[in-house]
Amino acid sequence: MATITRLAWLGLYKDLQRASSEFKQFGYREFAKRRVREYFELNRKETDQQKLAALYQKGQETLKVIHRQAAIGDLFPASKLIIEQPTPAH
Amino acid sequence: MLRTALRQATRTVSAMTRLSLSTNVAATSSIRLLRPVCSQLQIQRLESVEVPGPYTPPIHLTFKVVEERVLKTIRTWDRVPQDKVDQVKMESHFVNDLGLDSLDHVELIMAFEDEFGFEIPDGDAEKLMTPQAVFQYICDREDVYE
Repeated sequence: MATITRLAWLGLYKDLQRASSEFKQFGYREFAKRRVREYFELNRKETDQQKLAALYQKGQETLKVIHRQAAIGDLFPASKLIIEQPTPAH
Repeated sequence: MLRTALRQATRTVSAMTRLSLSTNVAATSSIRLLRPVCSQLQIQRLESVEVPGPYTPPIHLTFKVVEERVLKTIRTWDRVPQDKVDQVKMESHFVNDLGLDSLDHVELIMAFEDEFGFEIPDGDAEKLMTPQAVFQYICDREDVYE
């Protein structure tokens, strides 16, 4: 089994973060980004190749899930939270 | 006033279409007659409509602007260590000086992508370890010159 390169992991991380920022709803968006980060942090020390391959596979599937959920979220109107509004110029 | 003008215009148009069926020469002359009526109506209508202004011209990037925006992006990025915000210089190394890990680095590169509006390929992103390198990369990419 071929090892997954560092570049591939970073690429997956970037894809996941990009996909997560597609969520219109502030809560979902921030949660997805934080959760992706947490998972990567959690498995940082993992060395078992089989587990790593499984994790990579899971990451790819999660990417699809996030894309799909973000697309579904787009179908419904979402208003921006007050903290997302641009600060008025003084 | 407007209503009568409109009615006149419609009448002229219908007359014109009838004419254009009979002769082409007559049609062209009636178009010439019709034109001022139409343009006046259009002006009246357009005056009440708010026309979006001309598009905003792209900002001309200079070395100074790029440098400021690179540093601003790093300083405003939310996971840069707060005690090191003031120490961010063009030469400081993301990993060694600012203490970021590889995941932070990826997110920072994403922040640069958002700031400058183009995608940095993963292979190139790996080499961008200082603000100076990012600055150089963006200047090359965007054809910045003094």
